Amino acid sequence: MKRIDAIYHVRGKAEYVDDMPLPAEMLYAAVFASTVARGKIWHGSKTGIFG
Amino acid sequence: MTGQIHFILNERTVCTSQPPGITVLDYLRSWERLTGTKEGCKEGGCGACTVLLGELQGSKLVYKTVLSCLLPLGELSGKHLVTIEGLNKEQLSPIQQALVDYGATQCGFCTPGIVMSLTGYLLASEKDIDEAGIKTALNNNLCRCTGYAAIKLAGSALVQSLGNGGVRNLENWIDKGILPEYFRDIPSRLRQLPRTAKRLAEGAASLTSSRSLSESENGKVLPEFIIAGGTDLYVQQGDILAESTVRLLNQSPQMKGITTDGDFIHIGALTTFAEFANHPAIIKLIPHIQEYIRRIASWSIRQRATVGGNIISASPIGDISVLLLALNADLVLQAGDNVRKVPLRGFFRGYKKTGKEPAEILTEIVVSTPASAIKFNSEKVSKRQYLDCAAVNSAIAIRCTGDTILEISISMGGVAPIPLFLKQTSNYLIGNQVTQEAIAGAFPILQGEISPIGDIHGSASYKRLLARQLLIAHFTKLFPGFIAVKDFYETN
Repeated sequence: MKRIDAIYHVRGKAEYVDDMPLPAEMLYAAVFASTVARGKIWHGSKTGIFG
Repeated sequence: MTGQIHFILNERTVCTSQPPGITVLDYLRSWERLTGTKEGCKEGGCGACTVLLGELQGSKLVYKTVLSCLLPLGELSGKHLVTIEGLNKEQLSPIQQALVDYGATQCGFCTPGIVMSLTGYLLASEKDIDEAGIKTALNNNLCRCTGYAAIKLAGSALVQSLGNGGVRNLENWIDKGILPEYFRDIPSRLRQLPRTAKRLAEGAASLTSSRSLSESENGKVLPEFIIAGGTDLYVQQGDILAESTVRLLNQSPQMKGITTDGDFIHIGALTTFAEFANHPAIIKLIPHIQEYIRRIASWSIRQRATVGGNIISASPIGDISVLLLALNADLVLQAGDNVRKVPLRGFFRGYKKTGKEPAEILTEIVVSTPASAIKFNSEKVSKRQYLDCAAVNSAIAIRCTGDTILEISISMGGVAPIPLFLKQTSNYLIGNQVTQEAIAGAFPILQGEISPIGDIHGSASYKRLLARQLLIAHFTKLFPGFIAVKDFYETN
């Protein structure tokens, strides 16, 4: 079955995420699970309650 | 120690001061922004990074299919690097068109690598292309999506349309639309390239240099890496290599090639696995070498990986090391004007540690040509049949009269921190006849001589079983008239 994007594949022109140039000042995010079952999210502080 | 590296990249002549130790893959994607060449595994397994590297050999322009994730930038000096972008013309090439026509792409990530491998096969093929050759060429590339069927059909179609094409040369391939027109000028343009970074070449070729650590840059002492093929080094230490000074041994022609002088076979340390397996002297010594070599890496890696590299990287399962241990090879080590010759047996001192001094370079491996006929066998057990490390591997060289063993050397990898020459097991079997009793008598000695540990390749007890089975396999393969596998079924 022919694909309409096959031509891009065989020419190496299909763009994948790793091929895209990174925008300037790009931010990164990481996902993690909370260690607190039920709590309030404070703004920004990395140093914690006693910091 | 950076010079400038002059080469031709697709259609452009390039001069770069980027470090010679970075991979061509990183150079292409990050510096040149040519993102058609993909990063899949970064360890030579997937082929998404495949490029073509053209070099003048005499008057002939020869292209090799190379994995750019394992290729140091410095190796491009004086050569023509071709990426998928460099193969593109207005019209699709017959290879590209076949892949489109047969629906041989899905996500398309592996596709540039497949186009490169197939193109490389066409360019390198000395005879008519055929389906077996297409299949071998594609050993270089993994595809997760298509299941390969459509790719194979595209390959068969190419054999139909391009096979029996007559004279196989560059002009031919340009006329058939495999390569763009600009390739016509490449030979003359390569001759005009400045003799690149002479210091790079001199540093590597000069065996009188005995520094093992480079001068510091910014006060930080960078370890200097000596790189032959780089096919193991870039997998193990790719990140460090990018910011280290490197010595590229491939600039030293005196370490290449195999010569014979009646009593000895001299194997240059830079002999590639492919050259090793194709050499008549090796084929005479190890008749099944071409079949066995296919169990080691892949055909494109075999064009880069070197015999010397396999020994110096000192892996306990080094396939070539295990072969050479059974052949009782000697090593020639050189530092400056000091040359010494040491036996390979005894060269491995501990896990990945050898008897090589830091300032030395392994230049040559010497094997005696047997005075009379020996039988040779090798075995490799690995989870995947191809492109995989051994769990346990083994080699045997044996001379008999009738069924009596006169001389025997057995080596084994994967059963100790180093590749082993099984001295006690071999000695035990001398003088014995090739019978089930004699071989079974060797089992306890074999088990006493090895010390496998459990790891991803298998448990210690599994490896002990493999050791026993491979010993049996050597004899049942070499002496089918004297002994059969079923003779061992009932024994412990």
